[in-house]
Amino acid sequence: MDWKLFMQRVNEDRLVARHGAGSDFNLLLSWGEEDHLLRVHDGRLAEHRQGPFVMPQCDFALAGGDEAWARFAHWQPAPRDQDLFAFFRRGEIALTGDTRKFFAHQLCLKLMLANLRAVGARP
Amino acid sequence: MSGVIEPVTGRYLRFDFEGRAQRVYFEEAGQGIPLLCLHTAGSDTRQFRGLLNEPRITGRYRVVAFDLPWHGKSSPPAGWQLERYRLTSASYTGIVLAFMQALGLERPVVMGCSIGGRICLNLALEHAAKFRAIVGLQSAANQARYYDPSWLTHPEVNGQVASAATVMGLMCPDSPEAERWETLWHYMQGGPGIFAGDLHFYQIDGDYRGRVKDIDTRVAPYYFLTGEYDYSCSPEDTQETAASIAGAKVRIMRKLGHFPMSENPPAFIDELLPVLDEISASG
Repeated sequence: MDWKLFMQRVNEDRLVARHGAGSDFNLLLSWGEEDHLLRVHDGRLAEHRQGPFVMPQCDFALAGGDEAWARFAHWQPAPRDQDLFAFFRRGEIALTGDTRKFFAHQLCLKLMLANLRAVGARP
Repeated sequence: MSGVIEPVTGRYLRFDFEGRAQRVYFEEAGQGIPLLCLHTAGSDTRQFRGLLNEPRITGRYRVVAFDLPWHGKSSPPAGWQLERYRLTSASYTGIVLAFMQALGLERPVVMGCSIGGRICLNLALEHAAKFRAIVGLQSAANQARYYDPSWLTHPEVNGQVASAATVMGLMCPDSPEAERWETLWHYMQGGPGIFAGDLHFYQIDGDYRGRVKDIDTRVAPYYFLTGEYDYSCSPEDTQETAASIAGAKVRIMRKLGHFPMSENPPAFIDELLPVLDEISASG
């Protein structure tokens, strides 16, 4: 995953700009063995840092295996791989941390993560 | 006049339900066999805009859709300010029957989506003779909870935006952008706590496992239509329920999700027309 390009896409995304305004949160995204800290300020992806980290500070975390995230981030996800909650239901991605903050900023977060699909490889 | 008036009529129907005066908003279009449409949790009648404007349906069906009390343009009954809204199997069944009686609908086809698809199962179980046929969209006997909807009513969460965000991924990503975002707009306009109150029925109270095997499709044929992108009521969930009902028919809809009638009306209508053909041909 090209996280630099992801960050650029997120910050150029008009939907994120429209619906993410005012959103502030820190997300720890664990993609298999890799950890990524995403700091969102006022609906913009202000910082991306890749681990490993020791005791990383975040508001909430999303953790899933390589294969689960790869399916989520596929440019054309298969039926029922198109949303985080589908992975929650199947136990393939887990949410931990401040659930209130997750729900409060869920729209911004989902719009941001949709850009993983714009960054992934296409045939 | 240069505008286009749609062939859809919106009116209010007054009747008593559970001892309280209700003023229920409904829309209708067409003539023929009544087709009573039930919207999803936290939304309203606008989800059926495509059907109400489809002449291939309204030419032979009288399409009627109503906003449940507390939803859309059906305000809650007087005294709501002291209550917490919670939909139950009994209250949902009751309001559907009360609306039918108040409007004088004789043996309609009933078609509901999500919570509407769930209540279709109870209507089939307890009141099948009142219906010509039953069409369950995204219909299954149970839904195990995979998130806690109480966060949608937390004072520090914008419940309407969070509700929309929670359901946005239930649609097929290839459904038209305008229709997907209109579907979300309806959620963003829901009353506080209403989506979560409907989910009480969907996730807890309306569990029909173990009972659906008693549905008699000889009294009212039962059709299941489920979009393949729906992970909430997945095709497997529908097929598992349908497998226990003798005579039930299942159609898995490609390129559609949890809101087939609103996320992509033309694609859904193509799926629905053969079912309506079969129902109308059955006499």
